[in-house]
Amino acid sequence: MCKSLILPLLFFLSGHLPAQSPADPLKYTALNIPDSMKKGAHAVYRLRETMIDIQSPSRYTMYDHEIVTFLNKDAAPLLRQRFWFDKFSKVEEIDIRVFNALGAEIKRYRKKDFETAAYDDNMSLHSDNMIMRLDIPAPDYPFTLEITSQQKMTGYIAFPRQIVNSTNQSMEQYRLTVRVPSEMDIRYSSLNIDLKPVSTVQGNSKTYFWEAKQLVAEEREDGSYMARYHFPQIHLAPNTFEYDGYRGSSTTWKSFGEWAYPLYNDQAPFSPSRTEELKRMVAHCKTDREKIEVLYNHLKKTMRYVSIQLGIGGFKPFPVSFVDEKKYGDCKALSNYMRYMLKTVGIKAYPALINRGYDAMPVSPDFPANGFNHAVVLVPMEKDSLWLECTSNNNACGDLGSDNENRYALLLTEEGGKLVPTPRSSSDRNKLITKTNIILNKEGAAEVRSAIYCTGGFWSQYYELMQYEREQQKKIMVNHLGYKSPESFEMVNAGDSATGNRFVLSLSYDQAFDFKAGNKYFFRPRINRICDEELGRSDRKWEYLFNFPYDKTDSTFYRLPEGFTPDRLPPVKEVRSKYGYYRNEVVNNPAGNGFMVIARLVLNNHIIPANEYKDMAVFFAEVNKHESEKIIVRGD
Amino acid sequence: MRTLLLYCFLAVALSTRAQTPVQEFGVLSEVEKKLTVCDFDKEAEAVILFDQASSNHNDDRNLITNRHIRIKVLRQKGIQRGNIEIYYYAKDEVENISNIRAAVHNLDDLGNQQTKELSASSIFRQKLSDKISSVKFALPDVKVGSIIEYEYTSTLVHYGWLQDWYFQTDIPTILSSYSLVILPNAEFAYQVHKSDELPVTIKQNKAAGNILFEMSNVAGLRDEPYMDAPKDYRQHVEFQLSAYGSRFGGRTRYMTTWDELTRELMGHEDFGTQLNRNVSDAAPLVNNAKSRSTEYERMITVYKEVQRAIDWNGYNSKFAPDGIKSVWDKKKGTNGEINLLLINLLKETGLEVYPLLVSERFNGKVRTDYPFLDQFNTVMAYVVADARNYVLDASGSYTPPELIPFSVVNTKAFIVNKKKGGIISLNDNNKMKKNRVTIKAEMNTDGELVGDARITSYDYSRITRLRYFKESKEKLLDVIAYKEVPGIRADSFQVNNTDNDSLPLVQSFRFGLPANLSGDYHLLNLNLFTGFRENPFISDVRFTNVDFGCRQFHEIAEQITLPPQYRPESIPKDLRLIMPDTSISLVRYVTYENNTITTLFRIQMNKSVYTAEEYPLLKEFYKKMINILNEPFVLRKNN
Repeated sequence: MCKSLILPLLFFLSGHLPAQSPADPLKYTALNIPDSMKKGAHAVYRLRETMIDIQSPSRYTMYDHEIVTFLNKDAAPLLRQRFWFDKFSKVEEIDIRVFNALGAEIKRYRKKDFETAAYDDNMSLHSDNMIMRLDIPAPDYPFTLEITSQQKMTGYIAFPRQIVNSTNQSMEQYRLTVRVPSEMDIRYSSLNIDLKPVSTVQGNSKTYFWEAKQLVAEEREDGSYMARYHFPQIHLAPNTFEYDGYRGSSTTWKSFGEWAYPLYNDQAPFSPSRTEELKRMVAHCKTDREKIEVLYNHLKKTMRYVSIQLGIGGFKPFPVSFVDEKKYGDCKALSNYMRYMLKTVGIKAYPALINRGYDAMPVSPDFPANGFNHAVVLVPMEKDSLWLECTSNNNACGDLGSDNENRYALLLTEEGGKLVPTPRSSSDRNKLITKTNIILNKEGAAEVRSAIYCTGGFWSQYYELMQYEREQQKKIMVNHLGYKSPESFEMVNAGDSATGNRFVLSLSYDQAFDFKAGNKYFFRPRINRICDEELGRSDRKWEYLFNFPYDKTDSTFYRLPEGFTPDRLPPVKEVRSKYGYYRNEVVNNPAGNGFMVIARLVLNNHIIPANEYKDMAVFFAEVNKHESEKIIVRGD
Repeated sequence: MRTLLLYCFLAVALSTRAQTPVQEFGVLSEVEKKLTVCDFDKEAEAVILFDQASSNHNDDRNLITNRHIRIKVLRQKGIQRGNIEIYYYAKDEVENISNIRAAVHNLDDLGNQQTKELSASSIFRQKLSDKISSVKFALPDVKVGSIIEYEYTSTLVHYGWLQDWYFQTDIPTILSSYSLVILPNAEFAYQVHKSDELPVTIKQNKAAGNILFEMSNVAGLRDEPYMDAPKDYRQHVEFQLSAYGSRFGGRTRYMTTWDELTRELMGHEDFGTQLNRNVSDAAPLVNNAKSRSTEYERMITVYKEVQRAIDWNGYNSKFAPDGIKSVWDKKKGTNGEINLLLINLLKETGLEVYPLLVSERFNGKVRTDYPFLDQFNTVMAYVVADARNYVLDASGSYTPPELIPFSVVNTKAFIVNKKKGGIISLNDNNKMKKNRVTIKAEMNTDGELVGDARITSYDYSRITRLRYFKESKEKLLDVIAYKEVPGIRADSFQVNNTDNDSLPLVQSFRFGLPANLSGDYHLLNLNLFTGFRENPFISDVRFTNVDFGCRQFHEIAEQITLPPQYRPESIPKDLRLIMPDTSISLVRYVTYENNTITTLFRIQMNKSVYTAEEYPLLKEFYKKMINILNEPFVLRKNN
């Protein structure tokens, strides 16, 4: 084992931060960084070393030491120093030294200079998460920061992800050391970098050591999974863990589920009278599916989302009776409530842990560890199992949404955890069908009526839109849904069909055409854009993500006044690509004076591999180009 | 909206119990139970049935306010109002919130009232920053039709912390009522800000030392584009108790005139006294400045260095309670602290400089009739150098001295000085948002356009674009080209005169536009880099002023050569569009000769503020203007 490792570890284990060596300018100067490290980088990490000393299933100490040189103001976000802690963690010490370009120390900050406050995650009403903040004023660039910190955990169920390097920065030296009692041991893997540890045994503890050097800076790419999934990183996972007195194992998915499942157990979910009430609600139902729909609708109508995360309450749901009384809960509470409602009427269902986010990568089946941030419900059935998203006020029964699809969920069952795939998103489940009539008069003004049918992701968008006031709705329709700005506008809910949701939109325009040249009127093919994808043309190294795959159809009928005839109607246009299909057709109306524009746009896969991105960009560029063509009508 | 200015001097000999009619908790009227829509604000998601507060004092002269609010949820979106957060100033125990009681009332199927009270265990407290904390709770079983009710007591350490009372929020209010008992032998003044159509009830009971303010049926106020200061429009009462010093101590000096305000400020430890402190560590900077030959250069040396070296922490203030020396040491401060430091150092170099109290645009208009200190949100530096006047703000990003900082241009401000002080208008001196665009391009036989664009940006346009450029060159190109013209390709981007404030910013690049076909016609988009692509005004109704900040001038000259195969199908006509009050004019000249199209657009906006009454005309003008700019040159290709 290398000498350089023992020294800091010794200090570290004694419970103090290593005594700072007198400032060695050569160590901190910004002037001796090789060009290869500066290329493409806003900042150069001269050193990042982390030491984790695991003492027991509920305790570990983490020591971090970084020396980073800021090359230019693009690195300024790194000046915002943040540390988080909660009931089971504590930041013991922070020491930040600022060095100028020559390596001389010019300023120093300690833990007492930080402002401590409650951490607002923009989701919870209340939690015991706290944040420590310090924004360091920027000296002249380039300069160097040395940050040393120590944190102590007194409860955990997973270890933080160890990022080796992130984008737009380079890493000269990276070191990670983990010490663990041999009988506990840890599991590890690496992602986006092939890094294997050197392990040694001393007495009854085991030490793992990873090292990487001279990692060049990589560019960040937008539009993919969250950037952190692409950073080179090391994953560590415990075998045994303990949090707030609850002990468990995450060596297998089964064992992790065995820890979580009892947290969801509720001995007395409903009172006898409430039980009777629930049974009465589904008495008229002939099938299990009907019963599930009735109860899911009841959940959607009566509940609201309120998140309170305190201690084990971050993993253990509120009692079912609490949710029933308060009519609110977070994802765990609402999911468990749904599961017990179903149990009361004789239907078996499982709570399932999941990591939600359309841009979050699925957890790895081969590396059991807690990576979940959400809970849903699975109802196993003969043919297709039914998944229920219980925090939604509008999802269709069985519709998870693309931020829960395409990944793995951990079912919590009596036999422990079972990792199962969630459904794949499909364009069939995200449909938008619009039928529009445009009645034109001789001045070019028009009355428009549009019938909208939507499911899945589109239904969520329109549902959200309907919550707003009219003026706000109008702005959203114009600025985000690509509608031509109308003079007057009204949107009403037209009830739900068996399979989807319907709206009727009435609009009026003083000038329905875009512009006029002599007696020729130039019209848009339809009153709203069918395609709103703008893909850049450059090559990509990371995959590209759309929110969800979709199937859009639009039929727009233009009824022309006397004396108006369409100019030569454009030919049918069809564009095909591996993941997209577009077709647009303009036909004369045999019954009267007018023409009909029928278009279809399908995106059948929303996760596009990097090497297929260019095709997709070309496809959408062609669609956009065709869509921007106007239809010409000759007037009087 | 015009201000109703009432100032009342209330001297009271005795203090007695406050006499305010109080609503009983949980007792709902039939009207409240039956209400399903607010008839004076029909789309509102919720309505405040009443918002009542009464303030009094105890023997320790603490300001104690009891507040009681009842809200009805009318639409789905209003359900989140069941999550309540009360902010308070926790630092140094200035404020505390106690005696919280909350409940939700629903009607069951038979119309009977079902009430659920909030349990104490559901009330959470959080520290949000060094100064502010909050009390949070979620009421159970909130749905459309629920009535949310809560009350609490706020205890403030003294009357200096008395806040303005707002009658209006973003949702409608049926009754808003505030009763205030003031300290015995105290004097105070108030100002009611309201619109003409809404009446306000003010009842004074001199014997009881009590004053009551009430407004009824106030519609909600929402955000609108180019809105300057929500504070200006929300109906409210502003209080000024004794002298400004009461925020930090127990002084009860009374200011009725601007002169008295000046005297107080200049003698105050956190204001006037700071201007004479010796910041010894800044001596090198001061000496460097003193060595310059002109007053202007002295000013610029100090200004640039303070702006560069000191970071703004994001807070507004007029005072420097920690002293400007510590601001220099920590290299961080509020905007007021930074500018007081600037004034101090400019004085050291021998320049004529005064503190200037300002109300930035978002903070509301300055009312000049009464010396209300609170209407100003910060202080800037007013400098006289080489017989010219300058207004300097060293917090935030750099503005050249020749331009009044954008946040205060075309507003009024107050110079704090015994001899030369007073209200002044910070006029723009003909500085505006100004851009000149020159385009020279060629269309090829496929209808694609390739050319060079050169944009010269002056005054405030220069500052805005320079700010983007300092973020990154790519960001500026994105804003001026990619976001302006869909489908465009741009390269060879150059930006000149970035370091010379007296020269306009010149941006040049080569661009390419794909062909735009519709049937047999080619559409040539002439709306290139004008900055006016879409009408920002979509709403039919408007409650607040539209405030663009300053005047504008945009000129776009284009020369496009066509290949011989293309013939014009229709040439946009020369025209001039002008607002009825002549404040905005658009001119378009288009000529076609020898296969070359020459276009000139000129847009002049001579007014920066439009009232809500003028909005329909403004919206209509913008609509016509955008249509004219977007009218393409239609070409036909001869095969």
